[in-house]
Amino acid sequence: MEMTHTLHTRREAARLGGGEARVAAQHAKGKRTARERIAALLDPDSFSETGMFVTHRAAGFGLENDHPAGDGVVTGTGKIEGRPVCVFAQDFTVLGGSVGEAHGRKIARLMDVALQNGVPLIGLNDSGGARIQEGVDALAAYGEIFYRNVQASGVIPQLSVILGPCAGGAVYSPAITDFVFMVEETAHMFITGPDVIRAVTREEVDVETLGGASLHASRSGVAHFTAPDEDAVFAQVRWLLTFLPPNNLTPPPSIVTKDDPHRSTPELRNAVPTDPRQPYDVRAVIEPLVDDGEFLEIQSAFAQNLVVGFARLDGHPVGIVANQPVMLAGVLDIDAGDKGARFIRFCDAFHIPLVTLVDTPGFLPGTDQEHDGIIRHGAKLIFAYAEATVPKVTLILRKAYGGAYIVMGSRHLAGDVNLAWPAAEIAVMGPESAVNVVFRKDLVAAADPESCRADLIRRYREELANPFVAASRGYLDDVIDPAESRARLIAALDFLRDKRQPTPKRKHGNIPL
Amino acid sequence: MDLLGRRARRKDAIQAGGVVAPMPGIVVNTLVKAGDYVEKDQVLVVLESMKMQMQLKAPFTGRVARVAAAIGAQVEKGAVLAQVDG
Repeated sequence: MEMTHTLHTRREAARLGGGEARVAAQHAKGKRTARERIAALLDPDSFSETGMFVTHRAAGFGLENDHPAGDGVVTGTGKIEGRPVCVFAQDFTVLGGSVGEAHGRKIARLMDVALQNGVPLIGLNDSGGARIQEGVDALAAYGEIFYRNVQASGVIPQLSVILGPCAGGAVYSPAITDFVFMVEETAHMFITGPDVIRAVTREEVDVETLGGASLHASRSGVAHFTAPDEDAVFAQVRWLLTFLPPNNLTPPPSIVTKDDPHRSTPELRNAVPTDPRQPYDVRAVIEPLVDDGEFLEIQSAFAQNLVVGFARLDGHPVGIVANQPVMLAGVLDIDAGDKGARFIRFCDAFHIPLVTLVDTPGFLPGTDQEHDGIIRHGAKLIFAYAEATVPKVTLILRKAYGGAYIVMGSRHLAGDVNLAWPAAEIAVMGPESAVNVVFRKDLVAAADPESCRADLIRRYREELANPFVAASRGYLDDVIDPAESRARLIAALDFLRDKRQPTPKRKHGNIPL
Repeated sequence: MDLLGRRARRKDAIQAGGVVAPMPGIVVNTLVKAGDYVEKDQVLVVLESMKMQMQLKAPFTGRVARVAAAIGAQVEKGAVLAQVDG
């Protein structure tokens, strides 16, 4: 009886975290405690905590008198939509959520458990950084976490949810994980903060401008998802997990859909303007294609000229990669290369088939792009597509010119099923440019250059810039009616479900980074 | 650092009601004139780049202060093509 009483007293003390005053301060910032967050994220009553009584063994600088149970991080296992997950939540009310030896060991142990059991890992980050009083032990703790992040990459999905400060070396654990979520206003990520920047370069900058959610969602591309509050972010985490397998040896979770796999999509006949100069939102093509119009876009505010995200076709998750003509004409550029390649590699690691929708005029010309390395960044897309052994189905909607045609999941990079709509234009370059290059002398000599040019452009379209040339070579498997697009994609993926593609034995490839 | 400065200026211009060229191109149409009342997301200027005609929209509802874009003009990335006052 007395022993049970001791247990309950100790549990009570641990659950109080940093005490009522610090909890009140946390709430005042619109933030919740670690345990409140876990309860909000997971299925009700599914959480089993581990390491509640872990304490640090540091001495000096006052730490010898302060041994909070749990050491500033709550770890354990639970369920989301009935499927197991491993979760840790840093507790900002305990020693500022700072990472010391014991704190780090708890996270590392959880990561080992997640990896060994093939269960997704979710980190809820809210920490002041390394625990200064613990010196090199704090640094060791980060290193142990980073190492495990890398070992687990491509084996289990790893999700990082940033719910407060995440500064210095601490940012690199989220950076290695597959998806980063940030809460607007309260979450910040940076390597060096405003004070250091001011001291070193005299530049004045506030934390939101430096590393807020909107910055990382749009400009840096560090964040994949952002939302106005914690509940909205947790809803995104739960939604994302519905598309993901728990590990790389388990197929992605399929569901029974009421959306007919044979459903005709006649609205797609008018989705793409026939005038190649007219833009349109490619999401208006994606939504009619996929089950129930459900599309989870990733990095929706970064490199918006390339849309990536998850959807389902006949109940099976797919990764969609699509050029976005309404943004920067749908060109491929440096950021699009990075965004697309990382998404493709995630899908490949976790057996999620790729559906590519092509409508791009090509790579973005200009000194900015060339000088910033479009060559090596664009190469990532080629590498990722060519390396991927998951089923790859590509549908050319309209323009597929030059290098961009090759890059975007073409047959030549081992696309499994390659289709095009009848209005597709596939050639080395667009008609106007091609005519100017090939017939420059004829145009100069012509009596009426403009009618000569118009005639040549018409001939170019008829003879080269159409899908039937590619189809006649076998580079396209078929040219299809937009109305049959959904049915054809589903049929292709159904056939490819058990695709096995052996790869040469090697340690790993060397993707240009 | 120059790139940082340019991007920051572009962002400032947009927040101040500027309609900004997202990439270099040729102005093919201007659909409003100074003094016109415009709704948020109303198309103000059409810019052609990479053989695509991009519709540049009002950042918010307000009155057009000026249209700086001339039809046929070649403009740089970041050029302010029109100005809307909220």
